[in-house]
Amino acid sequence: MSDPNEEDLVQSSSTTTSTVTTSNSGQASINSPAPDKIIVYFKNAGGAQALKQKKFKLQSNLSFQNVIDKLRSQLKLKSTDSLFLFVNQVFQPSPDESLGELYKCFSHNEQLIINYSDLPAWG
Amino acid sequence: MSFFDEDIKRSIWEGKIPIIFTLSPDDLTSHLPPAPFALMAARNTYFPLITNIVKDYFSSSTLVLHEMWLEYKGIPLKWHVPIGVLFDTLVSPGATMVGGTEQQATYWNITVHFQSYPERLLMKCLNEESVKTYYRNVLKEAYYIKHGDINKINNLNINQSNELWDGLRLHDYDKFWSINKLFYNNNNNNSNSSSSNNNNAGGGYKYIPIRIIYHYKPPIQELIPSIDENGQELTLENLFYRIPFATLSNLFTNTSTSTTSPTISPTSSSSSLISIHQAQEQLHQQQQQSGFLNILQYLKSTPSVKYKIQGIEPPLDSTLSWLSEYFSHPDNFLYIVLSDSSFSIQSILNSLNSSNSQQSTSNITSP
Repeated sequence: MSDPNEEDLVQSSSTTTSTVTTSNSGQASINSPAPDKIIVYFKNAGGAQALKQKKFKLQSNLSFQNVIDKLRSQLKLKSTDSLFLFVNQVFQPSPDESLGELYKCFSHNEQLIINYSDLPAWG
Repeated sequence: MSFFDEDIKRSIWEGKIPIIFTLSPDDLTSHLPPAPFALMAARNTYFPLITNIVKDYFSSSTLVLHEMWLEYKGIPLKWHVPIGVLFDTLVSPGATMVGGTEQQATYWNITVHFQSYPERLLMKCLNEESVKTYYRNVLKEAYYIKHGDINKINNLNINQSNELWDGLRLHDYDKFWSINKLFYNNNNNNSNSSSSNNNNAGGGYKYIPIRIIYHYKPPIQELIPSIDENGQELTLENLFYRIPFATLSNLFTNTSTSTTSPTISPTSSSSSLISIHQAQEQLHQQQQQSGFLNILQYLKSTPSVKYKIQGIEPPLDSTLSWLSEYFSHPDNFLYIVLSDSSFSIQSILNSLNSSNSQQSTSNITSP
């Protein structure tokens, strides 16, 4: 169980972001694809226990279901325990959404914040 | 806003697809197979909201009444994707090319199953409440992209929330739009203003909630502003320009880099391994040979690739804010389906099986 080094994480993920610009006016920029690996920051709420390690570097081609499974196993939850995951305390992504696509739309400071709770806290 | 816009919005809402449901022979337990069941399905609804009548109809012909699910040519239909988006992805001319012959779709032939729910491919849908919860969350996601908060949704009172849901559930245009209009800026205030130089350019949205569906994969989502750096409204062409081609090809790389052989489901044929590799190879070749920078280049230089929004191909110079307002689904996302007619339905099926098996075995790495 090692503590994550935040500085390193941020640096490594930012190397893949670049913007292509052209002289074509009105169509200035092309969006960056999601980096191969992204940082997910898990924050607990309600009766859900906090993780010792809160930040994980996950592959961006994972589905959100993979993220749910990962978190459940980290929390050592039984299959009957309920767990709700929210992005930015706003919505619960569908299990088939891609982590990379969520990152492109909802990340802050190059990390995706996922709030989790044993109750639908922001439902 | 032009004179016809309200009519367009209503026409989009009224868009329907003729479907013929047939009971799977595997589930048949009566002597005679029941006649197929025909239905006109609204494009903008979800299957669980309209298929109770189908379930009731077939229930006398089968003894295995487990969870119902639907299948088209071996592909389990995702209940949480709007019906019109599923149709444009899987059935629209182009996607129906099988063995080189195009089958002109006059209706959509769907097989109904009552056993062996494909849990690995489809989310569970316990009841109508599951659809409601799902819908509410996608709506919040879209609204959050548009406005940067979800205050308006959170501030709906219980009657308004019910009105919105009932409008969708019962396919009641007036009911639904009486609430849904609150989520759109131009419907809210001076809707009669036709001047283009008002300070509300681009509808006043932060970003336009857009989902691009390609090859029956999970949606591609990009942050696309409604106006560009010069204050010009972004068009559909600008959107395709801004999305890197790699975004499409990345959907495939997770399977092509796999060294383990994909699990083949019982429904797929033995030739599936070959065709998925062909499909991936094709895409990689296209990318490498032509070096597409973005989706616009891919579209323009590949005649077999088409885009569809609500079943039609709006002009490339349509503005995104206008499309968002009039062509979005009830979840407030604008769904753009990209289809390549040189890809067969079989390759969709195979990549579905492959990516699924890949995902379930992916390791999550921690630092």
